[in-house]
Amino acid sequence: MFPKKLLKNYSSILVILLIFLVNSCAKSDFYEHKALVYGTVLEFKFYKTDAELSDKAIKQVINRLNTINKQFHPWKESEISKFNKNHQLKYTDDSFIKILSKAKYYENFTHSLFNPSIGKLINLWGFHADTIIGNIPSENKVNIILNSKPSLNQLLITKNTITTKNKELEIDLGGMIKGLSLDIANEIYEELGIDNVLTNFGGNILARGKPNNRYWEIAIQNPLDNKLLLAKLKLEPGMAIGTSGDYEKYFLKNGSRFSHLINPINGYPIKKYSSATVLITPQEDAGIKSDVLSKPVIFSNDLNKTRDDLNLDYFFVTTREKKILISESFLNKVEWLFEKDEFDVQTF
Amino acid sequence: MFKLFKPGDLVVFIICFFSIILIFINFYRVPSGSFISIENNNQTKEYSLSSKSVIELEGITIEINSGRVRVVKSSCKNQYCIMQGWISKLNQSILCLPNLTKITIKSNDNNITHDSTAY
Repeated sequence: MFPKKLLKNYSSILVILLIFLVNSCAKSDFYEHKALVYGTVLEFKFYKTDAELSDKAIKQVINRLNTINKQFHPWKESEISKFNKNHQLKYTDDSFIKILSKAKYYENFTHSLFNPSIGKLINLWGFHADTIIGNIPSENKVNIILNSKPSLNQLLITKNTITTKNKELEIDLGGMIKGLSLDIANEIYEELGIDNVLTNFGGNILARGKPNNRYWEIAIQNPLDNKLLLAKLKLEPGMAIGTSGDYEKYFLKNGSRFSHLINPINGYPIKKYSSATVLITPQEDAGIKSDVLSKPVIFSNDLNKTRDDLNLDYFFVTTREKKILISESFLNKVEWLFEKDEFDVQTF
Repeated sequence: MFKLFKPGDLVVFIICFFSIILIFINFYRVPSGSFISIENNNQTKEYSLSSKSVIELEGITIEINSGRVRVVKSSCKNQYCIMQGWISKLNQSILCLPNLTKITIKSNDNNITHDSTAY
């Protein structure tokens, strides 16, 4: 039907035409999925990854996160809520202790500005609930907890039990779980041989690989208006970014905002800054660090000192008075998305 | 006739034909997250492209029908806005300055510029 000579002479043109047709009909190179685990939105964006393999990874990640929530959820039924009630717990899973040890390491690393032992204080302010009602506690009650100096260093861990003598100590890993989950997801991708995926767990993002010949690009939400974007930046492979903000969980009373970010030193919600964003370069625990290190930043009294203490190059804080204080090296990486002069940007 | 057109010309013709069709498909494709934004007297309202409605504003009447939008009645002198007819493509707009009205087809697909949002 089709002349042989014609096929011979024009086969290359036919091939080009075929490629063109196939290419224009091809599906997107990206595979996206959203899920909800214990109130946290998980977003996956795979690049050039087999859909079946992607689904397998998502399933494994969700299973692991469900297990972690069953171990560490601070107010729903979990191992940790049992411990918080009785101040002793028999454990069977070694991974449980591994995570606690990691939390302890970061508590010490941040000089207790990330303190996973102040669960009782967070509960006192009314944040251990699905719907936050809010409660301003008496100074006396706050001081009782602070005076006991709650710390994970006060845990006594034996082969199969954890105990503590400090009855004011209650564990809440809320400041670390999202970041930890990112690192766990990254391990799962590694095991399954998935190279290019962007993972966003409740606003904390970890970049693995990159799509095609560009970097993953992310936007940062405006802390004063969740419908607006504050900035845009590129994440190199292995980078992670995290933000702590007073807009996430809070209650309003007498015209004041009370955030769930309770300063472990004075026992009161953060007032000075409205958000703190940290960018972590590719390294071990990048996910955890993107979550945990935003706490010492938001509670910081001296940003220069915090930079040296944490050995952290890229971070910024914002205030409700529309001020942005950003490290000089980070300023070169971000592209602001607000109208000129809307925020007063200063470097340190 | 056959001396004028060699078989290869047919191949070239087919390539051109499909190329033109594909270019047009891509050109006319409106992203799924598109909507109509109508600015009138400093007030902006948004309407779905798929709705079928007639919107009567001060001095101007706008019709939305099967993914298109046009001005059907206007109090302006030149009636340029009516003459423009239907618009249906992304970022197309109709202006009617005497009535201080701007009709634009916009897209709210934020993913175009970034992959994910940190918060």
